[in-house]
Amino acid sequence: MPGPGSYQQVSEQEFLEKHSELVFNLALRLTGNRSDAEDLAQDALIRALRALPGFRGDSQLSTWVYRITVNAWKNRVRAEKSRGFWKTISFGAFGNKDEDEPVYEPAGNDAPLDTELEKEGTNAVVQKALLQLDADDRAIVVLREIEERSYGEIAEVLGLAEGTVKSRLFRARAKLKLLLAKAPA
Amino acid sequence: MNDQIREKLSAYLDGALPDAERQAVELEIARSEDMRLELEALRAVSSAVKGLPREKLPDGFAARLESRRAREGSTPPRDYFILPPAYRPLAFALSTAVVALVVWDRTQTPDIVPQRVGWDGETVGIKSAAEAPPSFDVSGRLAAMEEAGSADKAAANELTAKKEDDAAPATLGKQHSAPGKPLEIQESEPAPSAGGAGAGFAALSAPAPADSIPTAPASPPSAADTIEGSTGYIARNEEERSAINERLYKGFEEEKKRMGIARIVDKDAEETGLASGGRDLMALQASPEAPSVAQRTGSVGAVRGGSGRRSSAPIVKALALKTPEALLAAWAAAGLAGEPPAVKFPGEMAVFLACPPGCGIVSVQSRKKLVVVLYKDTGYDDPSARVRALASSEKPVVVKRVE
Repeated sequence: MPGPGSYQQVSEQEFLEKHSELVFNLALRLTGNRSDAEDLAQDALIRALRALPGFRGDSQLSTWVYRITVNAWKNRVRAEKSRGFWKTISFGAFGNKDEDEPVYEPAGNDAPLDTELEKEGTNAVVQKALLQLDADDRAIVVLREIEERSYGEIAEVLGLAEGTVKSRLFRARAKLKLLLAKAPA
Repeated sequence: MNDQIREKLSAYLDGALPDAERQAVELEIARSEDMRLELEALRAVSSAVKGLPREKLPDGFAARLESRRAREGSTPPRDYFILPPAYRPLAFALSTAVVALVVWDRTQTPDIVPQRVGWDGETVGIKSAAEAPPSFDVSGRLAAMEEAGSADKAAANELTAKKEDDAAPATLGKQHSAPGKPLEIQESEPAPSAGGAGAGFAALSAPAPADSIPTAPASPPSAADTIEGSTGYIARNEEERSAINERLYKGFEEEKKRMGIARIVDKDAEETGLASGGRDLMALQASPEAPSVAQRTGSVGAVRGGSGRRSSAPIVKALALKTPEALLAAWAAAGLAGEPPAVKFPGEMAVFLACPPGCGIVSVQSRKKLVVVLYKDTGYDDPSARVRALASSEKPVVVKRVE
């Protein structure tokens, strides 16, 4: 990682060429559909371009862009939750979303995943399972598995401790395993 | 199965474990079939997610991005703050609580101690003395004044006791006291009893006790008579209240000075029994340097203490006197020569007109709910023209000038 001060400014064009697709793919896995992904990617890139002159190379440029993208996405998730709250005017909406999600149980004697994963539409099943993870867990899985970021980078992007990333990644993988095992063939 | 080892499987899969932990996990995997299956399941999940294809940018992405940049770039930056959605329920709850508090506060009865200040029904509602501006701490001034004049206070108390008995007359004044006629305005310097018709009038123009000398009810203060915004007016906020009180106090002090009032010998009509229909809450004592009473009879405004427009009309009041002592007192206080006309008390009462020299009663009309005294300002040299006998009643007496 380049140290602070050693960063050389890139032009906007250069930046967009290098990071647009990366941001779009991250957005696609976070949102689950191309339309929302494009909107989120544009939002994140515009924010990044605005902040780019102030970027001093304290972290990798890609990590910085990931952080902007994930934050923009989390803001949207919060806004959606808020809209849901105001739609229903239900104080029950204050409850932890996790409580309504499937509780993780040890795999035990679940059927092997291979049979499902090898079938057509596996990607759709996986994407659907991803969307059932909560925001941070989904971001951690995507950054680790798809973007192949290290625990340290993920922690930096999400503003979490590395140990937290490690334990949440385990929890997210276990949940995904459960979801994929229960997914229809 | 060791749960701690299980939790490390994920990191083991990523090669993120320190050597010691990695060896412990490998040992457990070699020993436990469940652990091995768990690891394979996690690896399969990881592979499945990794297998999601990378997508190319949609066609026209760059153009749409530039278009949006241009659009948003031309939008001026917000000069306001949008509360994050997560805090909005809290903000909603807080604002609701504030509104509820304000509504609750508005519904509470304000802790207002009515202090009537001024003369003849001019009142202003202010809050308790503690909340009033320091310069308007009448009670404190009263206390200091009363301390200096404890003798007069004792006399006032004596008067109170006697008034409660509704019997013997009390004497407050040094000169104008008379049986059955307590006078609230006293002159410390004796006024000439004969030539001081005006003086007597001034004394009588002050409120008199209700039970012995029912007086005409105070006419509603007109705009001209009242201190601006003071009559029955409750200020909307503390600043306004302070401003009104300040104006009122200045007017009050100026009027006291102008009238030569040195001290207030009683502050509470209910305590002393001096109340007259709840109007007369202060008894005043003139200072030695007080101007002559004749000077003080000039206008309504002068006596009423208002700081508003001064009226040139003389003060005229009709007193309903039910005892001979009261009539004598009024007669003497007005400085009238001779004896008052005979009145058959108690079946009759005397209607006494307090007015400048030369005035007199034209007629007295006993109506259904009140007694109307028609008078003229001039043309009556005989002082007995100020007195009319009338069947005794509790009806209020009002005066009306005729040309």
